Parts: sequence; structure tokens; C-alpha cells
Amino acid sequence: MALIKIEKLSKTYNKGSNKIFALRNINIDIEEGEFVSIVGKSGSGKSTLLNILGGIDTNAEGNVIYNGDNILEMNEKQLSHYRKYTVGMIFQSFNLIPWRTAIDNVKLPLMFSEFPRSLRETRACELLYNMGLNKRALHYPSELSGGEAQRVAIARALANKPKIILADEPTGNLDTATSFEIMSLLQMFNQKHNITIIMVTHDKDTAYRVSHKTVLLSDGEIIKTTIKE
Amino acid sequence: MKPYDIISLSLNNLTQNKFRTFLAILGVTIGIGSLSSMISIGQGITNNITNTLISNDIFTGLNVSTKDDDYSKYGNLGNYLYSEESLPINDSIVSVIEQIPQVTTVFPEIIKFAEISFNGKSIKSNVKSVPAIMGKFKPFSNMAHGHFYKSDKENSVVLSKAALYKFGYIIEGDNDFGKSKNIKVLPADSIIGKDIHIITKIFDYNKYNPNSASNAEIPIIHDTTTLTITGIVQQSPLSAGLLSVGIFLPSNTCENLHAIDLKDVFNIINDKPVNYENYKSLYVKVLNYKDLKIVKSKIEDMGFVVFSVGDKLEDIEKIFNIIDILLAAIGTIAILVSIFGIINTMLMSIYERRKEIGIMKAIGATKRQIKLIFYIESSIIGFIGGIFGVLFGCVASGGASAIAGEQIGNLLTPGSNFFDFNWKLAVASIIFATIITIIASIYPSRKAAKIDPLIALRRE
Ligand SMILES: Nc1ncnc2c1ncn2[C@@H]1O[C@H](COP(=O)(O)OP(=O)(O)OP(=O)(O)O)[C@@H](O)[C@H]1O
Ligand SMILES: [Mg+2]
Repeated sequence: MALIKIEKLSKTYNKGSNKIFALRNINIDIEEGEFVSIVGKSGSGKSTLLNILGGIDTNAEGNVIYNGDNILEMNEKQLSHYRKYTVGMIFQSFNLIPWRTAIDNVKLPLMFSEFPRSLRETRACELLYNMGLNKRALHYPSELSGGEAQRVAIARALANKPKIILADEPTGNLDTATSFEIMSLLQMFNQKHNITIIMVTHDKDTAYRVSHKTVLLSDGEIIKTTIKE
Repeated sequence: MKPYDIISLSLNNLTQNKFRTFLAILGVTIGIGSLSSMISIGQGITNNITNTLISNDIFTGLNVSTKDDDYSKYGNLGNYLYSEESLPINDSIVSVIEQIPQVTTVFPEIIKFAEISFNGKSIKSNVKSVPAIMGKFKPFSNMAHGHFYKSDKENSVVLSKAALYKFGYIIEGDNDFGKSKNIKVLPADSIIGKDIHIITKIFDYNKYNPNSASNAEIPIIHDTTTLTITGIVQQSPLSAGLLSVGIFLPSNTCENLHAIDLKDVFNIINDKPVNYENYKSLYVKVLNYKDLKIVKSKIEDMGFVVFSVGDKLEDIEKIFNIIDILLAAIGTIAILVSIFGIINTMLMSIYERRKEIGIMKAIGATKRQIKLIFYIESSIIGFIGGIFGVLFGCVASGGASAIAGEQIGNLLTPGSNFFDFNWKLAVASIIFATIITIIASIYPSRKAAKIDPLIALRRE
């Protein structure tokens, strides 16, 4: 059974009299442990789809079934639970809180969850260590390089041990070498820890190289799904 | 999320923009400071004036006289002196009035005219009989110096400061009266224990000739009584009633003074009976000034004329209420201003931090958690602002009291404050500050909790 089943998912924006079809009749099955990439031109609906999967946009038609529940129909409480424990999000612009140190940023999702306070420090250190950032724990985001900031963001996304990582152009602001590092990290977590990864990118080559399944979007529609053997 | 975490997140937010936090706290400080000082001053004025009035006996004392002694009814002394139909006030009336439950003490008002000499100086004045039991009540219960006499038979006397002033003395360290060349300053203990001579005039019946011409001199004998000063009574210019005569004698001692009573003299001259059993007036003391009206009407129903200044107390209380309302209104406006200040500060800070809030929601913070962070944040502002507000209010009302004290302090009980900033007011102010800031943050917190992570995370 699929981990996430996307059925007939559509989203339209009404801008005055004209309708923008951000997503049209999307159907995807995402299996546990899969690395899925979503590619497409700018404005094709990639971010829209990822935000729906992340439970931060529920204003859409169709079904997104996780664990038997349609996340589009969840209430506030269920949604925050889903955002906390099921998915971890990574953004192109990192979205770290600038006045919290690296380790405090990683601790933040642990504060909102039931994670015991006494183990919080250890957990955050361990995550940063795994990202090779143990020397950067007390740095503020402004004191980190782009690659380091994104690794802090990954650590934060992993804090509550989510099943799924949702990454929206995680390497969009990084140079090739750093992008490669981040990709390797994501791959490592996918392979070693069986974390499902859904990644938006405009870099088709990387997408085909790292993912099991690559979905090509155009004008909100899937025009091609490539599955690696 | 544990309380510790909420507090740490809130503190984190507060220390983010220190200047804004400072302004928010300042707003609460000024609001609470104004409100608490207004309340403190209101309470202070009320207590002060009420205490002054009560301690000066105006509001617990009644004067009972017969209908014929009602000056207003007759308009001239002649009618008063010759009136026929006296309703007698005698010991049986005293005991009837004593039976009224709200009454604590009743005694006949005996005033005698005498020449009094002290330290070589003499004045002409009335002396008044006040029973020793009055020592339980203000103003005699807290004398300025010395003590009130213990028994009605003592050869003692208590003086008011005004009486001393008439002799030309001011007590050392006393600012109630202006100093001048003719006035001497004496230490209190040089007055207490000193003797005073009361020289009374007695009508000499033996030498009185009913047939002599009406312009003939009335035959008189002088009689001297020596008494010891035991105390000096606290007194303010507002004093009336009891203190209007500033020389007080134990009842028996006063009774034993042989003095002419003008009315008796006229009665004798005109061949009318002199009734020594009857009193001209009674002094009635009620325990609580609130009972004054009831007691007054009860005695009036018995057919006497009752006079009391205390009737006006209700009006005075109304004035206090108006003062309190005015002060509270000023304080409330200050509080409203600080509430709007807090709402504004919170909304601004939420607007500035909408992205951060969006991130927190995207990583799993619930609406409740976001709201709690802001509630705690504002209650910290309220609590700290409340503490500073109390300090500010205390200093402000203390200062105002000092200034007011300089202006009108002499009118009231010396050394009195015009503010009453007690710990209850302080605690209530801090709690109130915390509660109002939480109330002020209801709307901003809800707004924060409703922030859509989608919009907050969008690239600018
Ligand atoms: N709030 C909005 N209101 C109206 N239209 C919107 C809104 N958000 C997105 N859209 C439209 O929806 C479509 C899909 O947008 P989306 O952000 O998903 O594209 P994308 O594939 O992520 O593009 P990019 O690669 O540039 O990030 C676009 O045509 C966009 O203009
Ligand atoms: Mg996008």
C-alpha cells in the first residue's frame, strides 16, 4: 500500500474573473522509502503540490491519503500533528529563525512536540553531528554558509523523526558542489534510514540521478512519470 | 509544550526587540502608576478627612437641649432666659438615653465660666466637664502629650493646644500655631504636672438685697480651685463640639466648682425657682458615626432639640465618592491608553514576526501553542510593568501627598498622609496589570495563531 496516495488532486486560484489552474487532476502513489522528484518549469505547480503534501495548504480538491486519512480534510489539531510527526519540510531559502542559534533552531520542533526536555539537547547535538555541524551549533544563521544553513534546516526537519522529508528546491540557492553535498545527505537519509523524500527541483539531471520516481509537471498537470529500475 | 518552554520562547521574543518591549512595559508602568496613585490618593484623602473628623468627635457626638433652649426659635436672649415651659433634662432622661443601644456615653454638659491662671498668666474662659470615661474615645484616647485623667474625682485638668495658646504658649516641636513675639515655646514636660488655678465667682446670697436698684452691683465671692495638668489634647482647627472649650475637668471636680450660672442669677433676681436637678444640655456619644441619624431622631422623638455636625457626613461621603470616581476615571483613561498601547505593540511585533510564526506552524506548532507564547509574553510585560507601576504610583502619590501636606496639612491631623499605598493595593495593581495585558493580547494572539504558514513562508 502506498504511503501517500494522491487522487484527483486539483487546485485553482481565482484571480478576479480568470482562473489559474495550479494543479489539475494529479494522481501519484508514493511508496514508503521512495525518493520522488517533482520537476517542471517555473509556475508549473511544484511548490503548490509540495505545500499540500506538507499540510500547510489544504485548500484543494481531491484526496491526499496518508495512513487512511485525507489530509485535506484534517482539522487544525490533526494537521499540526501531521506537520510535526509525519513530515519535515526544507525550503530553498532555509527559513531558519535568524535570532536562534543553529542548535536552538533544531530544538524548536522538539519544543512543540512531546519530546522529553531532558533529551532535547542530546538529540539536537546528535542531529547536528550527523550533518557535520557539531562545530557550528552556537552559530546564528547569518554566521553560516548556505550549505551549512541548509544542513541545519535538514537537521531541524529530521528532529521529530518524520517519515517523509519534503524539500522545495533545497539546492536552489547553493553552488554545484554544495548542492551535491546536500543531495548526498538526502540520499543517505533515504537509503540508511528509509525516509521517504519528495523533492521539488528544476534540475532534471539531478532528479533523474537521485530519485526512484520523477514526476514532470507542466501547467499543473503530470505530463510524464519516470521510474528508475 | 511545557510551561518552561513557553516562557523561554516568550522571553526570547521579548529580548528580540528590546526597545519595543521597553516601550510596552513603560506604557503599563505609566497606566498602572497613574491608576494606583489615583486610588491611593483617593483612599488617602478619604481616610485622612474621615479620621480627622471622627477623631475630632464631630461625627459621633450629639448635643441634646430642651426646646426652650433652642436659640433659633426665640431669636433673642431675653426670651431664652425667661422662658417658662422648660422640658427638664435630668438624670432620668440621661438614663433613658443611655438605654438606646447605639449610644455609648451620655453626660450632662456642664460649662462654667472662670478666670484661669497658669504660670502667672490669666485668661477668662469657660471650663467644661468631661467624664473620665471619655478618655476611651478620640480625641482624648490619643493625647498629644501626657494622659487623660482616670477618675471623675481627680483634681486634674486637660488642656487643648488652643487653650495653651491663649495663655501664650506653644509646645516645642508643634507647628499648629503661628509663632510670634508674645508667644513662648515650652517643652511639653514642663507643662504636664504643673498646677493651674481656677478662680470662680459665686453669687453671694447673703449680701443680695432684692430691693436694691437694678443697676446695683451683684454681690460676688471669689473661690480658687487648684488643679494639675495631666495632658494636652490633640487638636486641629477643624475641631468643634467637644473641643470648642479647651479646658476639660473631671465631672465631679467640675461640679464642685462654685460658679455663677447666669440663668440661675436671673431666676433668683426675678424670683423664679432655681432647679439644680435639671441640666441645660446633654452630650451623647454614639459609637459609630453611621448611627448618628437614628440616635438623633430617637432623641428628637422624645421632645428634645438635638444638634449635630455629623448630619452633614453623608454629604461629605458623597463628595468623597465623587472624588474617588474622578480619580478612578483619570486612572481608567491611563489604563485604556496602555491597553491600546499593548494591543498596538503586540500587533506590530506579530506583523514583524509573521514569517517566524509561519515557520513555527509549518514545523508543527499548534494554534494553542502560538497563542500561549503571546499570552505569556504580554503577561510578562504586564507583570514587570505592574511592578514598576506600583513603584511609580507609590512615588507619585507620595510626592503629591507631600505637596498637598504642605498646603493644607495643618488643617488636618498633624503628620497625616494624603495617600494610602498599602500592600493590598500594590498586589492588586500587579495582578490587575497582568490581567489587563493578557486581555489586551487576546486579539493579537488570535491573529498570530491564525497566521497562514503558506503566506508567511512565501518568498518576498
Ligand atoms: N497565491 C496565489 N494566488 C494566485 N496564483 C498563485 C498563487 N500561488 C501560486 N499561484 C500560481 O499557481 C501556479 C503554480 O505556482 P507554484 O508556486 O506552485 O509554481 P512552481 O512550480 O513552484 O514555480 P517555481 O519553480 O517558480 O517555484 C503559478 O501559475 C502561480 O502563478
Ligand atoms: Mg516553487
